[in-house]
Amino acid sequence: MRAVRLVLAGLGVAAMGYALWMALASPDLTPTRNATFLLLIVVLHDGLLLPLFLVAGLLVHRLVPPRPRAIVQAALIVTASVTLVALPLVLGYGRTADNPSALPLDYGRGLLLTLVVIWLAAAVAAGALLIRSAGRAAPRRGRPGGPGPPAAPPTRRGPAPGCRPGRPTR
Amino acid sequence: MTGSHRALTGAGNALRADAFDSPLRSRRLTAQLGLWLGIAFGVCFLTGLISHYIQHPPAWFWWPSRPVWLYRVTQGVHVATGLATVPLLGAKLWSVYPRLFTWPPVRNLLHALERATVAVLVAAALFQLVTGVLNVSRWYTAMPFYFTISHYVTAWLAIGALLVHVAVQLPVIRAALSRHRADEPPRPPEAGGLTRRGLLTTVAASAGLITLSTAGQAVPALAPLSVLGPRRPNLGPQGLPVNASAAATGVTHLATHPDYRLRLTGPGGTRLLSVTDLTALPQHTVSLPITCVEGWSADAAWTGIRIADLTALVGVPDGNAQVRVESLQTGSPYSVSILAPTHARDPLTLLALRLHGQPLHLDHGYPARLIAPDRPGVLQTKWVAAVTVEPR
Repeated sequence: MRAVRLVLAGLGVAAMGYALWMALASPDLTPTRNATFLLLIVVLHDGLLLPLFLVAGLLVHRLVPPRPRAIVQAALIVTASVTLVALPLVLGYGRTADNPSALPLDYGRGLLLTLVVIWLAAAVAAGALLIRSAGRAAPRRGRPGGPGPPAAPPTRRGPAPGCRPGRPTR
Repeated sequence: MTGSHRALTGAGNALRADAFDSPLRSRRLTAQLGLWLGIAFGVCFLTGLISHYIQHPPAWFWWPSRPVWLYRVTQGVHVATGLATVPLLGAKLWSVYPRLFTWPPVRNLLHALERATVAVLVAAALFQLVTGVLNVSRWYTAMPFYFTISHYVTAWLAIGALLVHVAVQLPVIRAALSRHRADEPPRPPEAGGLTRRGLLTTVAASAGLITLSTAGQAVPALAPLSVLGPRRPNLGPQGLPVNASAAATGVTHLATHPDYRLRLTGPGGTRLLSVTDLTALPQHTVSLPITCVEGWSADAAWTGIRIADLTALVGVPDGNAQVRVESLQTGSPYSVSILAPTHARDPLTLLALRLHGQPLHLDHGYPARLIAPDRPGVLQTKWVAAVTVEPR
């Protein structure tokens, strides 16, 4: 493993060196502008975007009851991902009057549609979870002496709610 | 970067980072996200390298003209993978965020070097995704630099820092990914909330949704679902998207002028051909995709003269030569493209005059454009002014 690590590190340092050499040698590159932009997006990400997510996470923790919490968290993560990718399209600064074939769609509508799909799926998942837990909370209506299987299979249904938070089976 | 909580539980943590630590963070989670992310960056790096070398070929580089869809696939995969990487990188950086506040910040020289590499990796990775997304959405004004070269140089920086990072963390990664991970006792799960598997599934679902909502720009079958696709393969003049219009490039006057002549030069001399002369030459129809470096692509039927037939007119009968194609457009790095012999002699390579049976729309390169198999759209020169045979 030591040899593998040395080779990887050597290749990595060489690649970074090549990048640095190109950055300094290429006449088309503007190293100070690139470095400023580089720094700016790191500061924005680490100093603004990620703390925002952490605050959102904290709010979800405070406001959403444990049972549907995972679904809400998942829906929020998907929402954030899609929104980040779609934002430049929605803002539409890339549109030009001379070329209507570039960015031809209504991306605000597209994003909205996608978000509706995400939260509908989340609502369905939460609904299914509620129905399932309601079924578990209700007294067993099974007929112990009936012809069916004597007891519910131990899998899936799990213990009564409150015993174990368990991960949502979706 | 793994093992967040260890670093955090130490006293003297100035920012009390553990205040927002989550039991979901673990070495295993970080290692799994890192593995996926490493694969994604590897795919983007290789496909990006291919695209760069096709456009700026070093002496040793050779690119085939068949299969005709090869570049369409590599570049489509490049852009789709890059977009799908957004949630992956977000989750990875979240999983190690508390390590940003490690105390003390630097323990020794080696530790300082390692942290510097991680800083370079994070910055370069974010730079690649942000500039990639901006470029696909054509928001050039948000980038105060030349996108292509910056994206290329930063790709080398990112892949280099990634290799060093993997070299440093390899023992940790191996331990975290192996079945027996005795060194990290499982943390009690939070009541409710996502589990590790739940989070990984969510990240995968995010990537999948981003792909579905954008990939229709290259895969026509997905177009109805791709409500966020920067292009529609069938939207544009003559049912085909355009990247640079005639108005934007300022060629309208020259391209539509009755005195337009194509200057054809080779060992046998120079010929000036009018649109009528070109139409009188043997015409062939081929079905070839146009593939933009921005990731969109579309099939089209092109009609025109084989480049091999043109070169034969000026004394290169076997078509085994390099051909230089120049545009009426000037002052752009893409106003000239070189056809390597492989592409120049391919019978599918045309000087196209018609698209879908109609004369080329001005925005598609009227009166004549180059169309060759398995090449990026920026090399499919439009508004061709001159074709020059350069024998080897």
